[in-house]
Parts: sequence; structure tokens; C-alpha cells
Amino acid sequence: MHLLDYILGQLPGFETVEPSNADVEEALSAMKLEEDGSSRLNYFIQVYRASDYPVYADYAIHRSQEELSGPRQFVVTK
Amino acid sequence: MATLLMNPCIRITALTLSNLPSTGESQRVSSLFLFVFMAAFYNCNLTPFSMAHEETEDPMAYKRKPVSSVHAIDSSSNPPKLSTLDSVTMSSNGAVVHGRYGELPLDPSAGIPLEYLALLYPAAQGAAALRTVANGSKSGTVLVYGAGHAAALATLQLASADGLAVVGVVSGDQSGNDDYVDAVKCMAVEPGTVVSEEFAVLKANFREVVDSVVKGQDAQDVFDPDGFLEDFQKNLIEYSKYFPENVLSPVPEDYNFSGKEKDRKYFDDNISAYLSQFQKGSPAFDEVILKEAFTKEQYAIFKSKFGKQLTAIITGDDEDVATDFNPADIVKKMTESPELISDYLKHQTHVLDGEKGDFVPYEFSILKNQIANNVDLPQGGPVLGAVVHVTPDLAVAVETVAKAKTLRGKAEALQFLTESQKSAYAAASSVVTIAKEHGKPVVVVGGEYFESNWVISYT
Repeated sequence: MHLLDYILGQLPGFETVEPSNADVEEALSAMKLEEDGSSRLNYFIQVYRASDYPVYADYAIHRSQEELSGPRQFVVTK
Repeated sequence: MATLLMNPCIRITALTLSNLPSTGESQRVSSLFLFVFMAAFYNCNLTPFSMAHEETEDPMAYKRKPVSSVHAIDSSSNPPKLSTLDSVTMSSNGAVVHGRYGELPLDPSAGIPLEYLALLYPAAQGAAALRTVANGSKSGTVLVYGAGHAAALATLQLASADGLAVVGVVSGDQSGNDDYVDAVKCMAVEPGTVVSEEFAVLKANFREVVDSVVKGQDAQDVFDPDGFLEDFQKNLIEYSKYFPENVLSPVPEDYNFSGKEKDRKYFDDNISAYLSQFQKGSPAFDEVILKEAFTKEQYAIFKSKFGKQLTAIITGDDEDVATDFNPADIVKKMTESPELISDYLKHQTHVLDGEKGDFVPYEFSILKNQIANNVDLPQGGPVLGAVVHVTPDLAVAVETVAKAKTLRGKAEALQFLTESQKSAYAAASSVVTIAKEHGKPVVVVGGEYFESNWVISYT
């Protein structure tokens, strides 16, 4: 079976959480910058500027599909 | 000339010159020097710090295009593509519209990067998982598997910010990056911690880590003076048997002659002289006498001698340096003639206790438990539950094992998994088992959200 035949985010026998509006607001609140410049929630992100180089969109998809692609989040800007 | 007068440097210099009193030649020379300096400053196109620096735009420099949308990557589609759900778009009036949640009520002063908003769904999922597991608790321990992935990372950070302890496991697809594991570990506030999947596979070790986080590591548990003394006596007996003082070298090869035959008759004297320069071995010890005579107080006195010897060597105090400092001989003498312990060793107080404290933090004393050193050891509190981020390896492993109905079938299914899948299954089951033993919920995050949910007890 291909990996895509398995549903990521679910495991048989376990409950998958459903974010509510309150959870979305909590996440937004956690991303907000405090007065000292810190925030409760931080991510490691690699930004691919497809707005400047359109080929970066495909390149980002390619890099994200590699085996052991790395711990950062892939984000493409347009 | 008019241009020169318009220059602020020249005008300031002119004003300075005009306001100076006529006090003589030296004043005129220094004024002239000031004028020349300011003129040179102007001619060199340098500006004083008080003046704003005008940046000239490089015509060849690339100008970035404005960003109007940010997308995450949808790995669940075939082929993978830019996600439309996990994306944000800035409209012409400055509103931020999320692909999943619509227009977001953002405060412009919040300073949230647009790139973060593309990860709003996993962040919200992490918040939802924490809400489900913690259920409003202000203290407790949350177990997280896949702590390096987006949703679980959000759970870890939000739980730590709320004052909860987190024991996280970085999954195998990320645990090879030591720097990343350390970075995630820094996000878990004390007493919480983060371990790699390779450690969580060792179930007893992982359970010990969770217990120490939940209960806090009590210094009394590790301070065992009787055990320490017994270990020392046992090691000393073994040392005296391996390095007896009547043998110059315990290495039999040192006594093998490999020179010319004419030198053989001198070998014994030569090798004895050579080996004598090294520290001699240990006298023999009677185990019963050693246990009877070498008490904890004698051990404390013995350890203090090392401090005195070291201090004398470092300070260059030749009079106090013992040239024949042989620890084994010292113990032998102390067992034959026990020494009196000083008040200093017997009644050490912590240096932070009042004005007369003399115990140095981190100096080990067998007579008094000073390991805690007045440091409060935090306790995480009871286990609240577990959050499992479904990684590809874990998804394959759990699905494969779940399809098998018998125990033998499950064992066979596990056997035919890849090593990474087996490792993911073992580590995740370490996390889930501990949560289930405490009767706490286990929730799953990661991937796309689907409408159908089900709750079945894990067996």
C-alpha cells in the first residue's frame, strides 16, 4: 500500500481532536508578540519566496517530499 | 560659496568661530584646526553621527515583490500541491483571509507573521489537544509523541506556557538532528523534558523519566552513604588485588626480556629500577577489618586529604605537599590507627545557611546529604494524558498491526515492518501505555481533519 492510502492524523482506536473556534483564537493569541518580543508559540519555518521566483513553489513541494525532509515547516509565499 | 554656507558642518564651524572670545593665538589655531577638520569631513562625504544617513538606492538591486498569500504544502493530495485550506491571503483592504477559517479577526499590533498563519490549523489542533487532555488543570504532566511536528509542537509550547510539565518524544524522522532535539528540549520548561524516539523505545528508561518528572527527583533517593562506602571498600579490595605493592608492575609483559643475550643478566636490576619510578601498588587489606575500621567518618577524613594535597600542589606550598601521597597506604594506616574527625568535617553547614555556613555547594559529603543544595526540585504533577502526532511511520505501523486479529498475527505484522516503523510503534506505545495506566485520555493530532471520528478503547 502507498503511504497516501493511510490517513495521517488518525489512528485506529484513538480520538482525533477537532479544533473549535476557541482553539483557533487560542492559537492566534499564542502567536501574538508580547511586549518583550517573545511569543508563546514559535515555529521553525523555511520560506520559499515564489512571489519572486515562481519555480520555488514546485521546489518547496519537491523538498518537502524527500525522505527525512527535515524538522522545519515548509511555507510558500506568493 | 553659497553651497558651502548651506552645509551644516560649515555653518556650525562658522558659528563656533564667531562666538569664540579673542583670547590669543592658541585659540585661533585650535579654531582653524576645527574648521579644517570639518571641511575635510564634508569633502570626504562623511557625516557626523547626529546627521541622518541618506541611503542611495542601488539601481541593480533586486526589489522584492509584495507577498499576497502564504501556503503550506498539502502532502495528502496526489500529487502533492500547495494547500488551499492551510493558506492565508491578504485582500486589497488589508484583511487576512484563511483558507479554512475565513477572515481572521487580527489585531494589527499583534505582530503575527503571515507565514505563521498558514500553520494556524496545526496550531489550533495542538491547542485543542491540550484542552482535551489538560481539561483546565493548572498543574500536571502531559506526554507528547512527535513533539517536533507542528501540532504536537504547539501542544508542547502551550502546555509549557500554562505551567504544565511536558515529557515529549521527538519522532524518529527528526530525532537524528541533535540540534533540533535540543531546541525542542529548551521549549519544555523544567521539570519537563524532551527525549528522542531512540530513548523512548527503552520503555523502562522512559518510564523512569516520566516518574522523575511527575514526582520530582528527591535528593534523598540518590543519597546512600552506606552504599557509597560499601562501593569504595569493594573497589579498594579489587584494586589491592590487581595492584599489589610487592609487584612493581601488574603487566606480565613488562618482565619479558627482549634484548641482547649479553644484557640479560642486568635485566632484572634495570627493569626494577625503571618500574620503581612509578607509584607503587596497594598494601593488602583484610575485608573484615576494612569494614569494621574504615567507617563513614574515616572516609570523610580520607576524602578531605585529597583537597589538602591538591591545594598544597596548586599553591606551591612545598612544605605541605606529601611527596609519597599514596591513597591506598593512607587507608591502610587509617584502618590500623583511626583518626579523629574535626568539627569542620563533622558539622558542616551550608554556605547559604546564615553567616557561618562553610559547606561549598557541589562538594560531596558522605556525612550529610547536601545534594539538594537548597535548590527546590520542581514536581510536574500527575499525568494528565497523552498527545500523539501521527507520523507516516507510525500510521503504517499502527494500521498494519491493527488489521491483525490474533496476538501471533500482530507479532508477525510487527516483524515485517521496517526498523523505523517498529521504532515509531514502540516509542508511541511507551507514551500511550503510561497514559492508559493512569486512566488518562490519549488524543491524536496531525494530518488532515476528517469528518468521521471514533473513540474505541485501546487494547
